[in-house]
Amino acid sequence: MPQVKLFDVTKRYGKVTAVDRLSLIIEDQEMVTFLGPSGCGKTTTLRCIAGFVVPDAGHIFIGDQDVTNIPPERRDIGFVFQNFALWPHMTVYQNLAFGLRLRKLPKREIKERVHDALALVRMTGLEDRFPRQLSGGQQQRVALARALVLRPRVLLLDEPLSNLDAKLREEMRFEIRELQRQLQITAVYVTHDQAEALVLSDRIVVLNHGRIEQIGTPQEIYQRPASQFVASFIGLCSFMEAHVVESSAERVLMRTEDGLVIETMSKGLSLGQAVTLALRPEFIDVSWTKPENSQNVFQAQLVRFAYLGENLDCWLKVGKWDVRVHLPASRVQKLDQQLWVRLNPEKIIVIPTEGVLL
Amino acid sequence: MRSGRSEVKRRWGGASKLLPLLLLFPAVSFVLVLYLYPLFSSVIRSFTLGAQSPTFANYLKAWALYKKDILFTVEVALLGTFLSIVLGLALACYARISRSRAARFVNSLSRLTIFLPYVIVGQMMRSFLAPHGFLNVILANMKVIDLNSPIQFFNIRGLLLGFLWKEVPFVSFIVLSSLQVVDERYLEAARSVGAKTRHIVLSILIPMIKPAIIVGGVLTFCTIVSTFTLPYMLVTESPTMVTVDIAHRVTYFRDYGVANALGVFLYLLAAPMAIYYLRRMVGEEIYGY
Ligand SMILES: Nc1ncnc2c1ncn2[C@@H]1O[C@H](COP(=O)(O)OP(=O)(O)O)[C@@H](O)[C@H]1O
Ligand SMILES: [Mg+2]
Repeated sequence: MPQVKLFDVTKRYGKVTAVDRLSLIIEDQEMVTFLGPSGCGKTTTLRCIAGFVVPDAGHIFIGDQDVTNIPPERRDIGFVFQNFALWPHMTVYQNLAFGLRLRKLPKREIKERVHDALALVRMTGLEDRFPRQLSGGQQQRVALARALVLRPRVLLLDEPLSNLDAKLREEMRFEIRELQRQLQITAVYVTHDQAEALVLSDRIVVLNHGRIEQIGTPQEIYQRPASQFVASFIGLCSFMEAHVVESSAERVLMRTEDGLVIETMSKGLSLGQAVTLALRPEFIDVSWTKPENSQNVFQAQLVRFAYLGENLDCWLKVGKWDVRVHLPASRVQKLDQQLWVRLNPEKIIVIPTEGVLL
Repeated sequence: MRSGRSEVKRRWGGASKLLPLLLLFPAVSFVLVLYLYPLFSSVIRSFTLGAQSPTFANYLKAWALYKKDILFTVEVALLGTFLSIVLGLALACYARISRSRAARFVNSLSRLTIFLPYVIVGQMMRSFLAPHGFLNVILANMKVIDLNSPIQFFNIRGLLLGFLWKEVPFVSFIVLSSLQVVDERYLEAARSVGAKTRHIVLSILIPMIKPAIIVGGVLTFCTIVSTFTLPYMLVTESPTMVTVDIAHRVTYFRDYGVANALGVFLYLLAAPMAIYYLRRMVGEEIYGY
């Protein structure tokens, strides 16, 4: 299985730049996810790799072969569509056999390979069904098998689970990941669902406006988001704007414009640097009485909450900022309750922003 | 909701069964009077005219006089339908896949022919296909033929050209509107497993729009079988088509018995098509695209 390389790939539709000078190397046997909001260019990029879309500029390599101008039928890729796109006039068997027949394989081998591919997705025995006689989940498995039966060099998946119900979607995430590992196939997966991306990926490519915001492992993306956009897109996050007021070997202090002074651990920032502080709910300690240790402790007010089951999703006002936390339902009594929050200095994500405030 | 509905039921209870029938009455009586009555009467008259009791005499006479024309009609209809489907499909598939402006232009231009009546087509074909008409002159200039012995078109050749000229765009029109709604993903999926354009046309597009092809074929067949003007204006030799014979029988001999027998024969040609078409449409499960 080869690498997939994109160099400065650009695609415009009229005034819209769907993909903007995107460069990326996907390693052999790696599973990479394109993650981003709707319209950020995920699908277009994937379709460039498949060959359904020819980029206006840039180059795409699969292995050592420059495929930029090679039509999709000669790229040796497998593609799974969001709406499955199983041919309605063919049975499951015929859907899988179609590509093999085009390759003029002997009948016996076609039969074996279709059988193996169906076994792989646990669909043995449904060979003679038509797509309309299958459930959504089954159709998805067949679509996956159809893409895999040709043993393609690269597997491309465009939101393959978004037409399935929530429960099935969660199961299938693991199955697809398992299959990819088992077959050791290079795969690119497009999704707008961060949970899917976190479960499935070796690396996540976060896209925004056709450009790469950040590339990294799920842990890196979650723990060290490179921008406010990434932090807000993956996981729950609250933000405060501040600037650096003290930066010494022992500590770094940030000050918000409404006067909160917050200690963080980020090194190498110069005095006056404007930053965004990103706070994950799980790294905010909430107490109902004022804690002894007053480092990074601030008074807070409960302004809104929503029922989540065991926990409540709570909006706190800290100074002028909205801070989201999850609190046990049993501890929350009423709105406007006074609380104290402690922001763990080690876990505060500091994102330098443009501008210096002196 | 519930009480509302039972309220309606109580108030309209008796009328609700009669109402649809009443509403349908004009349409049903229209069909009965204007369509089914003439149809049945011509069938009956084909057995009774010119005889005391029902007999096959008219049919025997029709067969004896026009056997060649009947076979000719079947031949033209089958050949014309087949060629219309093949050419119309090719045109439509090309327009669907190439998406070039030229393809779309040719396609919409050819649609104009759908709106021209066959009288005009016959008129055009007469001058276009005449022994020293446009086509023969062009062929002579290209040194394909000698103008002293031009190709004779006022027979099955010209007839087929005339029918194709109108029916190919018609089939293409019907088929293309089905092709347009075939989701691009089906074609891309085929490409991704290695299908070239001809595989996509033969294995994906055509099977997926089979119902539309059948509709186009059936309607074309019925049109060819029943068109009078084109063979009347174009065909100068024997054999000619049955519609011309019917007119001939009525105009020159006032022989309604044989004319009706020939008419019934045309019904019989068209009926299996209509039945096949209807069964197909009902029987075929509609694909989810
Ligand atoms: N065929 C097309 N024609 C015109 N605009 C398109 C086309 N495909 C995509 N776009 C535009 O390109 C941008 C990126 O689209 P897409 O790659 O589908 O985004 P995503 O898959 O991330 O939701 C969007 O603004 C979309 O409107
Ligand atoms: Mg998309």
